[in-house]
Amino acid sequence: MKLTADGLQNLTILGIFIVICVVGFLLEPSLFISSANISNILVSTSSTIITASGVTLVLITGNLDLSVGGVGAMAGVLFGLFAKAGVPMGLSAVLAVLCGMLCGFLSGLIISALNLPSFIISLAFKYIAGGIALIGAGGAIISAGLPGNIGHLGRVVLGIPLPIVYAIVIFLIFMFIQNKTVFASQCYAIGSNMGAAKLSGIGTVRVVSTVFMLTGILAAFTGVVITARFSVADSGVLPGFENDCIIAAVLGGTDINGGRGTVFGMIIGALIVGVLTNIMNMLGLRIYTQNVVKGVVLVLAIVLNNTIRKKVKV
Amino acid sequence: MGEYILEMKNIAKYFAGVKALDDVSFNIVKGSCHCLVGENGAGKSTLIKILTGAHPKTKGSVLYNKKEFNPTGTREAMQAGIGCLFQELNVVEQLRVEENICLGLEETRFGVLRGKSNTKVFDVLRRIDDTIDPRQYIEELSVAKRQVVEMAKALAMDSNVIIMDEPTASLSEEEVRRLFEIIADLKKQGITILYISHRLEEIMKLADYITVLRDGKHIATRPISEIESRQELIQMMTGKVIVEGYIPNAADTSQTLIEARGISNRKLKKVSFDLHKGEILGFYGLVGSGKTEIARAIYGVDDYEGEVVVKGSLGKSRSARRSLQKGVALVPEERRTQGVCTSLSIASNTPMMNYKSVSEKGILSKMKQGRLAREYMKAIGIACRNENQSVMYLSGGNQQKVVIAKCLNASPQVLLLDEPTRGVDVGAKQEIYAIIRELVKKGCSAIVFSSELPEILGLCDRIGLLYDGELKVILQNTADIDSERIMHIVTGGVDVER
Amino acid sequence: MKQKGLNLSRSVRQNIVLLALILVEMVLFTIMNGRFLTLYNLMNIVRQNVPNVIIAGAMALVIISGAIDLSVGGVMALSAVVYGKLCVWGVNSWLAIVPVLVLGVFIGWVNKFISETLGIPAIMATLATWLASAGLALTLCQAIPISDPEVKPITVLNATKLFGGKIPLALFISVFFVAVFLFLEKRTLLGKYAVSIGGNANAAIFSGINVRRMRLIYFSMCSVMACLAGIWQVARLGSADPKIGTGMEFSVLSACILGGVNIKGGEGSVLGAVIGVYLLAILTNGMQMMNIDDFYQQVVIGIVLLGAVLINQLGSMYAARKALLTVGKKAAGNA
Repeated sequence: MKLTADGLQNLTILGIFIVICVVGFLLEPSLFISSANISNILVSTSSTIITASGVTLVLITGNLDLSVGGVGAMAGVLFGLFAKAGVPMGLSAVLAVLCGMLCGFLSGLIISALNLPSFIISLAFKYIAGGIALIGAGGAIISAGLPGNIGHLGRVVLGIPLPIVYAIVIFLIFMFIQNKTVFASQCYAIGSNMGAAKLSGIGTVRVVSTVFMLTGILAAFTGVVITARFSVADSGVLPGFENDCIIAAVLGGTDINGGRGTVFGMIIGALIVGVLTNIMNMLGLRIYTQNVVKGVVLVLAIVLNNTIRKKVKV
Repeated sequence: MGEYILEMKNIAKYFAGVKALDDVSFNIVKGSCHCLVGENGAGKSTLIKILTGAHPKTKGSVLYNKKEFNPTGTREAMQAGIGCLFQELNVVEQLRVEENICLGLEETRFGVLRGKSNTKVFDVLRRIDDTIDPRQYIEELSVAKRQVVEMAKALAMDSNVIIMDEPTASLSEEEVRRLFEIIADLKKQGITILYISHRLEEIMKLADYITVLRDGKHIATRPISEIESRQELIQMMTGKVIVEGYIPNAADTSQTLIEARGISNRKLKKVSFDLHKGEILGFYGLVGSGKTEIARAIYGVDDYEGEVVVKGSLGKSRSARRSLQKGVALVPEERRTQGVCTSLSIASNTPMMNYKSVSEKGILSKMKQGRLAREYMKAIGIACRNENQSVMYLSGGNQQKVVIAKCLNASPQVLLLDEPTRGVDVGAKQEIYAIIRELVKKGCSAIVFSSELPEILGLCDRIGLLYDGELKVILQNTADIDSERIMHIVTGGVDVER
Repeated sequence: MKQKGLNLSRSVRQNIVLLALILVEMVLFTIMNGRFLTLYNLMNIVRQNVPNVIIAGAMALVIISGAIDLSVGGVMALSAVVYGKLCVWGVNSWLAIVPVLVLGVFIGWVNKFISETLGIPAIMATLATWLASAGLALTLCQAIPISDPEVKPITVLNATKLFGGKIPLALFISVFFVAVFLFLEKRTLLGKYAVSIGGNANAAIFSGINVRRMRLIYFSMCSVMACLAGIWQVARLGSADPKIGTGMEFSVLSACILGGVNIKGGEGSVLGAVIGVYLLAILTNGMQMMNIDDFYQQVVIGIVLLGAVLINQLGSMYAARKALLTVGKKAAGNA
């Protein structure tokens, strides 16, 4: 059976994942395998999985979305503000997500209609959205005055934390989208060869705007869920979140230049990052040190991608 | 007769089964203007690429000033004194003229630029054209002036040989005249010019020597004094054109599928024609004659003034999507950048113009997609491992077939094909012709834009001849059509048989 | 047919517009708050923006050459902490600057290696470097600013005031580095080659320009300036704080774009970037004077950045369209 580049990539990262889990187990046998720890890993990875589902599609179209951290913070804070102001919790959440959607849609529209580099536009939106978050929370957090049911969306049901359920539902949806829709095919076409896509009649503005819009929705939703989990709207939440999403997608085989990638791969990538973070926590490494590791992982992941692609000629 | 500056000895170049150059030998006299002529595919570009080091040769040797010359790259060739002015101009728009000319040649002391301006630069430029202000920015200059700047740069690099590839493609008459004056000047300075062009009138005025290539072979090298007329040149260029396999299609002239009136834009000058149902219309012209521009105008992706009416629909098509809805599909000129998504599989590429054929309400069926690809692979004969193979590993011909499959899948009533067999091997060429004929038999029409005369003559029912953006005449194809008259028209000659 | 009138490049014309904008800003803010136009306030602006202005020149060259360096913030932090450590270990305050500069050159090499040799787009490459260096800075000092007495001597840079205590050294430092970069841009090949590489890389290669070496130079200059900026911040704060430089890449990037540097490369000037720095600086200062929260400032800068990119792009599209129509008219005239 011939191996495709995607197949080899997935196999490789699956291997890496298993190795990392083994390492974790060897380091702290009882701690690592405990249900509490596994739950921890899954919950913290859920944010990445939810948003990176969209970021993967963005990367497939050949673009970058650096705004997801800012949009998430903005949505989390807005959620808290609306709820504090008396708007019913469910509606608050919806409104916050709609704001994220708007943010994403605008970025995507500007990028595709005016042919501007996505990194600078999404970077600008990151600061705008992040700024809105800071304004809303006065530069800190909102904890007082939040309604009692604020944590509803992040609670545990039947022993399973809801965020994990969201992550599963969303990644299943996006795996479906990525595999089975015309929309996704168009994304691959745009990322692979924009010129050919345009000449084939694909509406590039429509597709790119949509893909950014979807990511905006997911990022906002992530922010809302985090606020729910901690019952606190933190304006400084999700620092460096965009990096985590990109690392997860790239590890999962998404080409930084577009035209290739899978949501399934991203999940393995996200889990690798999740377990890696968990191990680093167990080793007592502070977050900033973990960032150093993440920087190196990002570079290595891209190199791995490129190497595999060169080796497998299908 | 002076000494030879360049000697080509038994040059051969083979690409995967194609003999681009086959035992080509001739010499270039120092200080002359040596013109290279031949149809598309004759091997001119390949020869130039070998001379400038862009491609290595398969066999033979090049002597430059009596010494073996084997440049490994264009830069090496340039530094050895062989300057080349390509069609894509190598100037930096945001810099000034003088900065471009001495780019890479600046005088510095410890990294700091010398105070006094480089007077050599001004001299060089002024000798060619004293109307260009060296302090101007390139982006303000017309194409003609930019070419002059490139020439000045070649001179500043002390080039002995300057190669010009179709330099007059975008120039006005006045600018062409000026260019010839410059070339005469350069010759006086002892510089050799190697000039490639299709415009025979110009060649006759300009050349000291002419070399004719045809199908990769060297036909003749003669001093201009020994050439009687352009007819003679044309005969040498085209040889005996065997109109093989032309079978008239069942064209229904009562039904017009496309009416084009007065298409004009940056390149085109009031092009008008009709396309009838069931016919193959051809547009033939040489580099820069406007073929691609007409195709893109009809397809709606370029701006133009005038009207293109597609049967059964109203309104101007302003996008590829609109054109596809009207039943017009385009096989673009540049396969790799406009035709296929090379990193995707055959199965992913095929449905791109018409996703409805493999999907329902936006949900793709991988099964249908695979089946569709396999159907086309069988029908058109795409040689590959399976439909999941990445297009980038297919040969040029097979890649082109994928593009055609993509277009056919959109069920067009009109198929536009821009240089459909460029870079395609002989076998695949015939297969593609068969596909086009099959399509037309089923009631569609096709417009073929090509710079290969045998292709046009073998396929098309009517042939539109283009020169410099103008549609000169539309001829009915027959078994004994006058190919010399055709060459005469597309090289700028005045058509007497009106 | 000689050009009549001033033959100014688009860059220079843009710069004039920007200077006019600065004037407008200053007038506006002076009207709103009398304290704006005082020497004290203006000098404060200069002092606060020394890092921005010294990095902006180098960043401009990087962007003009078609790349980008997002790592400057992290490099600033790392250089500050490394400097602090060196001082604490007994190295003379002034000599300690040298190894830090060497670090800058090294990071520049790392950036070039990852982007050119490994083939990773400059955005990702420098993002990774940013992550690593910011994290390394925090790790080296365990997130605790180094405020030992050995670090203090350098603060004299910030405290020194000349001309009767009115003009801070910061002004001279700023002017010095702006002059240096203007010199490098105009009087050496650095500026011209950056435009060539960013504008038409093929033409640059054909002309014999060693693109890899130039990229290394541009990246290294940027990192070295970031290191100097980091040390400056230590001088200002009196301690080596690993949080130094946060958001700097965004500020400098915005300044460059505001100053007319084209994000796609091939266009822009050091002077423009410097003017951009002060445009932004006056904007933020003015907002501060109006008691607008820092957070609003972030939003405003983001919007201003978006606006600048949009205007720049629309300007190019308009110019291209105009060129197309002119050529068309010419052709039609010949027909």
